[in-house]
Amino acid sequence: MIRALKNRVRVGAALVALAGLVSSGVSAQAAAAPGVTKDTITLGMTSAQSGAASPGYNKVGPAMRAYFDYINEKGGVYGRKIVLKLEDDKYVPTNAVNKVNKLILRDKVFALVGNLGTATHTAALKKTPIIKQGVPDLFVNTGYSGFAAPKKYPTTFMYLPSYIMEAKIMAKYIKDKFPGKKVGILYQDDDFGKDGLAGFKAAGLTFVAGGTQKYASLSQATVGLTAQLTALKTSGAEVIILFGVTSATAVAMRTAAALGYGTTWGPQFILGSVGADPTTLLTLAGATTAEARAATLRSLTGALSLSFLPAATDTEDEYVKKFIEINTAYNKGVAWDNNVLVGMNQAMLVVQALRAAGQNPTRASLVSALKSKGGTFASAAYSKLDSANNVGFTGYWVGKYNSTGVIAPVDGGKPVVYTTDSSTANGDVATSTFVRPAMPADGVPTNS
Amino acid sequence: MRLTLNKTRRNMALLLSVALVGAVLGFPSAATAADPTCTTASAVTTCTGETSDTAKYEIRVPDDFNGTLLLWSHGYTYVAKIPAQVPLLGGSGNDLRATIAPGAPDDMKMANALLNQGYALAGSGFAVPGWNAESAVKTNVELIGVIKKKFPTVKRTVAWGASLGGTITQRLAETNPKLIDAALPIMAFNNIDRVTGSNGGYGTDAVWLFKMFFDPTIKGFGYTAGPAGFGEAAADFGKVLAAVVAIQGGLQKSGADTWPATASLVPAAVKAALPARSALLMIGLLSGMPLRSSSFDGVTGTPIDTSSIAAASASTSANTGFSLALQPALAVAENMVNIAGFATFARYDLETQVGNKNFADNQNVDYAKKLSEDERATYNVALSGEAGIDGLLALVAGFKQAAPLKADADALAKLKKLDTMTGQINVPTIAFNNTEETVEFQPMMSWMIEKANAQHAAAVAAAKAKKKKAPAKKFAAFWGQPLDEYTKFNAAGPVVQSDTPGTGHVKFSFPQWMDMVRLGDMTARLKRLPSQAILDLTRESDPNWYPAEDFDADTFESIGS
Repeated sequence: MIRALKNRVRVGAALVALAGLVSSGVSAQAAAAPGVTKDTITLGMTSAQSGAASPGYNKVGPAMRAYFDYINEKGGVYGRKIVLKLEDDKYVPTNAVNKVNKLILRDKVFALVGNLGTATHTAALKKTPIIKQGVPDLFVNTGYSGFAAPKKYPTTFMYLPSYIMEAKIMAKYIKDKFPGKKVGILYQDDDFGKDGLAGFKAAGLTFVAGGTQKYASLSQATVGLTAQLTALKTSGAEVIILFGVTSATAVAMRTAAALGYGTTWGPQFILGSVGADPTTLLTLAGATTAEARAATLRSLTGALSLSFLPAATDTEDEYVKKFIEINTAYNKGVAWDNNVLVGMNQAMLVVQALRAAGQNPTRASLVSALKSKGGTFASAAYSKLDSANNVGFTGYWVGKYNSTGVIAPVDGGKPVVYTTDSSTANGDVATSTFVRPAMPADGVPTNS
Repeated sequence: MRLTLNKTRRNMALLLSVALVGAVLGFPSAATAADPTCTTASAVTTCTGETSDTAKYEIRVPDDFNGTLLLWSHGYTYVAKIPAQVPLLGGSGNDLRATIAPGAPDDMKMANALLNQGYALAGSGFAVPGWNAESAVKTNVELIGVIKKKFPTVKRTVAWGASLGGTITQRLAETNPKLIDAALPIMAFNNIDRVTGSNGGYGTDAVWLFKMFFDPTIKGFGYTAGPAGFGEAAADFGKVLAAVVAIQGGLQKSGADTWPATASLVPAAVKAALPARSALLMIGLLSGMPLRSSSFDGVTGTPIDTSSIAAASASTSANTGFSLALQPALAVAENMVNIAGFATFARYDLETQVGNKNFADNQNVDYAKKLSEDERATYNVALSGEAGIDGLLALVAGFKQAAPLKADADALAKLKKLDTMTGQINVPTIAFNNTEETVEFQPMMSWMIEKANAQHAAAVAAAKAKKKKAPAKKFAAFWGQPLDEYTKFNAAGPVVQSDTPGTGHVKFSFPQWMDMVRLGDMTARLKRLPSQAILDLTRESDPNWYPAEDFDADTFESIGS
């Protein structure tokens, strides 16, 4: 024991001797961009990889990694291979702070990509050095409009269109296609829901008396949303918006069925985009039996939803087709679905942003490149990426689910894409004239 | 009886401290104190004695002394022994035994380890209990004189201390920089009036909000003079504990049955709509309390049952629900008990020192503004959604309108005079705090960092104006932190843990304490801070250190005090 302690003393003395010697080396090292070496660029991501919120979302990160693996095999980004460190925050804000701190301070990643969740990322932005160290925070996976705030969050860029945009487009569609119908809504009682309500209000969509119902996040599993769905039924709402997460949609659809939906009660359901992935809905519905699967599909059939990417089932789409190939080869055993499409498309944007940042990228050059060139990047989305303003994609198309859970443009044919912004000063929505760039040859971006 | 005795001793100490003023200004003189009594055993010479203010001290010097003296200042001790029947704290207080290292004299593990490494250790018990910063500095000055006279082999002195001991250490460095070579203030308590007095503040808000939400019979402020007031503080602590236990019992439920029976000011409709845990968390957020505690990491969910798909599905939902909805409130419950001891007994002491009047005031506090938009989003689930948040804030506004705290102006002025720490850095200093510290919470360290940075910036500007080389920094900060996940479960539920580094009050791991000493020793030997590389290496070598200096901590301004 004494010997061990005396060894510590020697170590302490050695550190004293070192104290005056090493400082010059440190300043030289500080000049290099964190996370970038001659051979690699290390990126970090936090997401719900486990826990109740993880189904579906936990496929996004691995899909990104699969695309990076594909690019790495094709030579990487200017010869550097992309390393993605994926941390499981379990959708818990405190854990997101822990994990983002780890990624920035211990793993020293170059940039964050695809971090998922409004509450989790709000906490991370508040309690980690993302802003202080100027860490590029690319393509946050949430539609909360508050993240597109260059003054407050100068390095944060959104990916999804904002919930405000979605609400404005949904409102226009409802007013156009269901004129005079009574409208009701079930929303999540947090920033997600507040954003949506702000959009509906801006667009002038009003709700029938008793038809504005909410649930506290995470309460859906325990309370079953029975009171809320019963109130919506009683209100006489003929169009019901379910503006919640997938697990809430699943509970609401199940509860609606129990209240007669599909038999004695026939409102038109419209699902918010983040709560509408059919694969996840089936998983959450406990669709392990043919009966459960059939019941879920019955509830989903005829429901409308909004999408900014092509349907994952649209195998004629050149992006979908290539991403399916990559998923099959580099994401073995993972079923292709909308979440994988989201991740692959996001990863392709990241690669283009890294290329645009130059052969010797810095954190500042990455942010600058994304702001100036992001709008020209190739992407599967049917609308423009407004990265000049730190905003994500800017448009949606409306689709309807068929009896097999496949979503297709509501009027058949090509999707009609609507575009708008996150302003709550007006409800202006236009039909998009955006022309989507072609998929880069072999799915490998060559931009600069 | 004990209280009367303590008062007498305090008065004597004050008189003696006046006599000592002259000694403070120059090299310390030990003339007024008797020589220590020394014995040597097991290769360590131990000396004991009393300084002229009757404070007991102890000095231990190993035979293979390395030349570095570590002068320890212990933390706050309650002004009287707390009655044995008071849960958790019974029997503690009025402890004036000489203390030479953290844990000592009851636990000598750290002291012995340091002696084995060749350090000399010394420390006083101080002359008076309670808030004694200025008197304790004088005691330490005299003690250093005793040591240097008895042990001329002392080549350098590192002052260190925690909690109130951190304040004493910092004040010693501020007022007597020539006596020490390095200072390690650990959780230095500062800004008493911002923390406990005017314009709300951490200690004020935590107790007042808890009282209003959960038990209005808690007195909390304006304790009666004398032993009766100490008894009121003891009763208050018991009430806080009882309410916390009642809330913990209902944490897994929702609605009216989660509220303690004593929550008489909360309308039945609110109780029916909101669980008590949301109110408890709101108290934590509005007062700036850490939301991780010794047992609750804010992350870990309940165990997942993998025995079947259905069981796994149900338990996964419960797992996430526990993390998001319950963990923060459970942490506040645990931290509230920790805080309550200081917020009741120490408040009694401070009120006594300022004339037995209340100095807490929240008339100008806008509690709704204390909850940031970020916090609304981050803790939305645990606060029961936007409706829950708005409902709780409306309730708080009503409480304040009905029964605001109003300070006695004279008492408040006297309280401010007790706050003597200036934050001036006169010797190379490394300060330590924990990210989840419950008593010396984050803003106290932030304040020190801001002061030190401003001082350094001014010195650099002055040097630049004179075309001289910029002076080196004399201050560094270290933040301890808990590991990411440490909550444990057994068959009965979460396991209570009390010594988790980074949480509670002055909780560090043994290696962290050793890091502090090594850094202090290094600083004293170099006569300056170790290089940035050494500081960074130390921070990155242990997951219980936050791995960077620029931890984005709360400040008094950010939490609205």
